[in-house]
Amino acid sequence: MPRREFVPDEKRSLRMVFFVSSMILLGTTVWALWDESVSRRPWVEYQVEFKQLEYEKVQKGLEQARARLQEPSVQAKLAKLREELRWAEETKKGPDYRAAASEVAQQKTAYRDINQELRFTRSELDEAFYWFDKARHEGGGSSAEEAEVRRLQERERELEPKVDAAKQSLGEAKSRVKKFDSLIREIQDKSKEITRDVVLLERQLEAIRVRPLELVQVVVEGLDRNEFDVPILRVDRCETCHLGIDRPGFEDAPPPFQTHPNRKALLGEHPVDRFGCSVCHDGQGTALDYEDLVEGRIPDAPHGFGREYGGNPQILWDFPLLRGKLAQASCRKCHLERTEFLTAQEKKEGQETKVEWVDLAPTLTKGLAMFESLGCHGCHPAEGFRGLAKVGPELTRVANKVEPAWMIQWIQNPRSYLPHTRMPNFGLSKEHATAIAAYLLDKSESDPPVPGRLNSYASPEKGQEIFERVGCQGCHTMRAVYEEKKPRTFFKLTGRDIAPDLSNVAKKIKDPQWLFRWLKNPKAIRPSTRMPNLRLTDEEASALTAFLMTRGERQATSSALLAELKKKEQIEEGHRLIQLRGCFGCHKIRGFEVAKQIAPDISNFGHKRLLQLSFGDAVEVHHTWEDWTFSKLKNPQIYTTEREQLLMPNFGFSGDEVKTFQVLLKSFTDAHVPERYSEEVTAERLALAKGRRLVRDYNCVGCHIIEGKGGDIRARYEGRLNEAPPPLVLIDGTLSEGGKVQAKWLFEFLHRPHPIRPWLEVRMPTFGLTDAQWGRLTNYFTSLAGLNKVPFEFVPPADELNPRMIEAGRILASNEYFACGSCHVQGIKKPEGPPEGWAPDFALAHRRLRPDWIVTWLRDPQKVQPGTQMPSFFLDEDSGPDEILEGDEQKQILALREYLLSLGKR
Amino acid sequence: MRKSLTVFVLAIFVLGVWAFVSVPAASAVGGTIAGVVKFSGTAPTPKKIPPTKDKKVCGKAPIFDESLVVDKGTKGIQWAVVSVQGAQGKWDGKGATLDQKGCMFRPHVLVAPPGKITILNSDKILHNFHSESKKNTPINKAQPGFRKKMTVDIKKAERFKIKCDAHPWMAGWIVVTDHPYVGVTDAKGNFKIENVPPGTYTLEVWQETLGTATQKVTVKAGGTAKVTFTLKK
Repeated sequence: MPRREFVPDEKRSLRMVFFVSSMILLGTTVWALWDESVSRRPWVEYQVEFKQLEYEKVQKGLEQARARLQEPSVQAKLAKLREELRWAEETKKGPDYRAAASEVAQQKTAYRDINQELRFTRSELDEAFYWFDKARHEGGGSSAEEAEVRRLQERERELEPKVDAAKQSLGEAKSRVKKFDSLIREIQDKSKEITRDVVLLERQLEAIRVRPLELVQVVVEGLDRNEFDVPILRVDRCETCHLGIDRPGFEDAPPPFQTHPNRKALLGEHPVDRFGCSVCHDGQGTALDYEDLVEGRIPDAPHGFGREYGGNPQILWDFPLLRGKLAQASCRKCHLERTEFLTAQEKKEGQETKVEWVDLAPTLTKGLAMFESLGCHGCHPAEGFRGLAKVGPELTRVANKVEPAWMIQWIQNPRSYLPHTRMPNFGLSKEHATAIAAYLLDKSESDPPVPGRLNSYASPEKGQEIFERVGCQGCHTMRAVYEEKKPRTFFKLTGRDIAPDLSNVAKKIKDPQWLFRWLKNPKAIRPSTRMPNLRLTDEEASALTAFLMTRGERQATSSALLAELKKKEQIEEGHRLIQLRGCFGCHKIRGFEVAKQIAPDISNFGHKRLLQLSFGDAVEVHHTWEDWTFSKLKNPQIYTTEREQLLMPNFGFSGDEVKTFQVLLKSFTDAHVPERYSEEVTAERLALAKGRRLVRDYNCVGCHIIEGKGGDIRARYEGRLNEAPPPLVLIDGTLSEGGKVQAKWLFEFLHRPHPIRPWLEVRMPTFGLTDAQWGRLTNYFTSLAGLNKVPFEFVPPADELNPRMIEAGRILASNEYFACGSCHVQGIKKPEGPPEGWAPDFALAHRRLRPDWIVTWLRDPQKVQPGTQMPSFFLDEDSGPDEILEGDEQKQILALREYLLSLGKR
Repeated sequence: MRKSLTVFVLAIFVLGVWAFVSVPAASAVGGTIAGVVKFSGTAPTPKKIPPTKDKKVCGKAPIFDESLVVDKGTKGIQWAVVSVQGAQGKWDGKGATLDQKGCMFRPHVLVAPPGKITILNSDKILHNFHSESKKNTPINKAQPGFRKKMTVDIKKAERFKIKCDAHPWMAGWIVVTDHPYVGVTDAKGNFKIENVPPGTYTLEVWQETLGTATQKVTVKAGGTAKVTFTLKK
């Protein structure tokens, strides 16, 4: 074995090693540079592209501006200005200017001389006064000194006006010179004004050209906290590529350069540099790489990402990017209390600009409305939806109302009887439905007595008239008889009816006596019902009962079925099934008063990770949050396995409705937003949110137009809208009930409605709500009118009104002048002619109307409520009679108000 | 003194001659469309409306429903509006006037140029002018008895109904057109449109209950084109 020869390090050649390692180092450096500047900067491409786009856009604008500049009229103007300028400069060189300039020089010298003299005199005066003072102190004779002081004082008095005069004439001379200069400047300004557009655009163009390519990044402070509750920064670099997102004019640009939809309203309230983007859109704010950002690095996802996942492929991130409508879900992070995100936007229609209300998160609004009105909260606990009322009718007295045979069918398949019902399908077998019916019938109590007697011989024809007139159709449909031409407000929002369609009502009613009692006083039968009391007389209720009992064939229950329903094992089975399916989530059922919601809490469902979702045996469903929810809502049983039975009923959602729910579900998160980023929940906002909920739940919009929406019943009053329920809050007019009527009156009226227009057949029903609920509604109306801070108003008592004004008002209102009594009821004095043409009683005014509103109304009723029958009396300057109150219209309006307020019993 | 008087008289004379010569010259440029609008079917009997209000004033003369007035003999329809479609021309500058007399709009159908319309109230009781216009902002203006005259401004060409909320039977129509080539039929159903620039036009007739009908018409300078419309329910 040869011995290895020892060669000391110093003698070994390391050339090769050095060479190889330096090559590696060089290679790495080059690669690092390449990676940094090319492969890790895909955004550079976008920036170049946008630069090009913007450059072209500005250039186009510049060309247009230049073309405008080249127009002969503009050129003529410019030429004229140039001529004027030349002339002005010429004159500046001319003798006039020279004379003026030398005048200034002269005046300057004169002023300086005389001013100097004055100052010297004053110095001398100071000196003389010193000697005078000194002499007086020393006790010597001071008359010589005194004479000197007096002489100098005299001199000063003489000089002062002269100095002033010299100063003034110097000023005048100067201004004469300045005039030449200011003329030149004026002309220059004028021509600059004309060429300004071009100059600005040129500068803009230059700025774009020299702008460096750079990463745009927004750092949001104090919004996020890490797992240890330590504040961390949020960094969004989205604007690096989305360059046009916060700039108008790129609405039609290709992606990713478009302007944000509703930019002004959304980004105006949420400036990007303060909020960033991922606050609403989630996703990877820092990512600059497209795949990183959107696909979460799915190796085979192409640039036109994830179509196979319905546009939402981001399966690898916990909180992937929220695209399209899904971004609306983020609104609820901060705006918890608001149910709508309305903003007024101007819309151009031809020459006129119209203001219209735009919901910035329409899908979310819809989802919230559907969630609440379909009663999802009955089974699913969810933050923000706790303690809401059950949405279904109480079933504690159901046996008195319905035919058992019908009931079983209904429980089995509600939509076969009412296609637009809110009750879902539980997929029950006939046996199970029978058992549930058996339990409900067994536990039913008897109805309390309701005063009144049903007249069984009442005429159905008269009943139909009453049905059409008193206002039933504000909530109820009867599609078999009355076509629904326009979708109703509630239907538009939820795709369901707010009250049952009555086309086939007689099929389910067991006893006309029950229907009569129900119509007379719904709340007595079912204290939690939302059906109001229409204050029907016995005769009216009897006729209405007779009419409704002609709608459909009563379905008698066989005695065998009745016997089956009484069986103990059926009743026990019913109890088990109700417990299992959670019927008590929506209905009040005896024996389940304290039962808990049966379904999982979904307060944080929007942040559910894929691991937490069970896909059961459904192999066809892609493993994404979106696909899971879509399939679940479409078919609630889809993820059932042998081990796990799923209980959620089928609501028969359409594809769009499911997508709406997805937005809502995405909004269910426990994301914590610090206070300074949250919306300030003012009392006013809260009042609006609460009021809107009441308006929706009690379907006020079935009859009235509120916030420009609703008034469904008006479709039945075509051509005679003056007989329909009045609109309350318009968007195109200035009508706002809260600004019109006194809050106290409104509150009392809601409690106990009394007819304001007694001749109208449609009547405001009695809803029987609590003080707190009516208070909320009153507060809502006053808030809508912007009077939330001072909801009340002072109405001067009759003896504090000005008697001279009252008298003037009385004369103005008389038949000699405005003849108000031609239409208005005045206490016991009724107008002539048919009552349809009458107008509200003057005697109501002092208790009902806000004094300020009377003035606004009299000034121009058409502006307040377009289309009202009340004509404008004071539209022209000379509308009022000259002989009353000096013909001053404003005074006459005030006199009429004074007169109105003086009328009626206090 | 005398000299200036002579000059004045002479000037008036010259002006008079010029006016005399120039007017026929202008009318010679255009042609006339004349014709009649007839009703096919039995003429409806006029329906009397008993006034329910202000009977002292409104009950003086009988009030008839004017929505379809047909002459028994000639079957001519009154208050039909015939207009030349697509014609262009200037109104003579005189505004239109609508009166409220005996609690009826007089005339029942008023043809007017865009602009101010004078509204009279000969009844000395409260009326209101309530227009059901769509292109123009609807107007609802009171005219109390003491206000004998007021104006409303209708800026855009439109045909709209007017009513008085104080007297629900009162109904009328205002037809505002951009050109003056429009006529309303008289009690016998006759109409006449003068000074129409020569050419071929579509002539449209409209009646509030019977709707519209059109036909082609050729107008020759100085000539008269005869047209007969027949409308039915």
